[in-house]
Amino acid sequence: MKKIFSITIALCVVFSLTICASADFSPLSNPNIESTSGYISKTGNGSIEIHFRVIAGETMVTLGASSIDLYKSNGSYVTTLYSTNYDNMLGSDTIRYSSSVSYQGVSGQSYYAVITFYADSGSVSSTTTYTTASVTA
Amino acid sequence: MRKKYSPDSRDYSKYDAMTTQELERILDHYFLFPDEIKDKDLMVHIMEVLTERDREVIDANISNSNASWVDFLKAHPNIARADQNSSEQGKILEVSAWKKVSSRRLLHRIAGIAAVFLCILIGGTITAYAAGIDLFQVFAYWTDDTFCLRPAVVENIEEQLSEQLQPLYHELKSFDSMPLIPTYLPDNYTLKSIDSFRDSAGVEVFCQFVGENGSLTIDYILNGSEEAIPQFEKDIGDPETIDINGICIYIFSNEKKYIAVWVDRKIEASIIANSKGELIRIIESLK
Repeated sequence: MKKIFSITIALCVVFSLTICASADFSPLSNPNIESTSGYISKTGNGSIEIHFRVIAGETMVTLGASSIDLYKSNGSYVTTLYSTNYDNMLGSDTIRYSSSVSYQGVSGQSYYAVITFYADSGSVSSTTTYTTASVTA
Repeated sequence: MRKKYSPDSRDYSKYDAMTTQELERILDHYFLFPDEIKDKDLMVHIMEVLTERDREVIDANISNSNASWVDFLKAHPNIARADQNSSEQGKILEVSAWKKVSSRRLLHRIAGIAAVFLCILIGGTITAYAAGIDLFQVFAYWTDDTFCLRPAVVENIEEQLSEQLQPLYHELKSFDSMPLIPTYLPDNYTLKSIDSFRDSAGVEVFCQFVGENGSLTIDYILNGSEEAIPQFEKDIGDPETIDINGICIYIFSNEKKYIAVWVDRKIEASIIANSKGELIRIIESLK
């Protein structure tokens, strides 16, 4: 009797682990964000603009870019632009959001950006990154 | 002497004096002449001259061959004895052999003339196309005894569109080139928003539909910049591909969403749907 009980418990444990594993069958996919893009344009005198766009699967409570890391084309870090300092980096109650932020760089210097996108449905939030091509300011 | 072909009394006698090679060269280059200086009568005249010369050469060869054959038999008496029994048959064979040579030459001539006419036809087609008559937009239609070209029936996509897709169609219609657009959308979806965005990376037309299973979006990026390439999230595994009207459409999933992406000329498009079945049915309706 004891043996049957032990086997039943063991089977229950294995079964519940299987369910947990199947619920997380694709850990690399993103539950909210579907498509992203970004690019840098130069606006003259060393100034650049970083443009970004994100599309979610459903209307999000918050959607946009939470931060933008700026690098020189040789890979050296320059700065990070945070959404807390720019009120146009995040939108609300939308399925698609696009915007741009400016940065005063050095004329003749090449830059690229790593944009961190953020989506929050109210119950689930997620992030993903997008790396732009280099552009000379 | 052959009667000269000159219905409008033009004198082509100088071509009679030309060598066969010269005449053939003129004939070969005839189709390259500009329309305004083309002289069909001259071409017919040259062809007549050449045909007559061919006939003369064949006749001469037949008579010469008889003489040569007699010489040959004198030199080879064994063959001459065998030939005595079948001299009549031999003559028939010789003549038919020369007829074969003659018909082969004639075939070459006909093939040459056919090539000239084919070139004139192709040249004429190009001219017609330049004149605004698009012969490639017609269907050739023929029966046993008639042939005609009929204009191709242009599909009226607007009439085939699901009602919810009409605003998207009218938004896209304003652009230079109309991209592939789905004509079907499940009935349970209603249009929530349609917006156009313009910046230095191109023009984007984004459409959101809402249904009982969630949102469905259709996105077009027209003349997009190579520097702003959209990146899609996806589950593990290779995308599937479907060919619609010669365009490769990539299909993959991302969690509970199914995404189709394709490029048609300089237009990148994507549809994000809630099930694979509905997505495939939508992209199969692309027109």
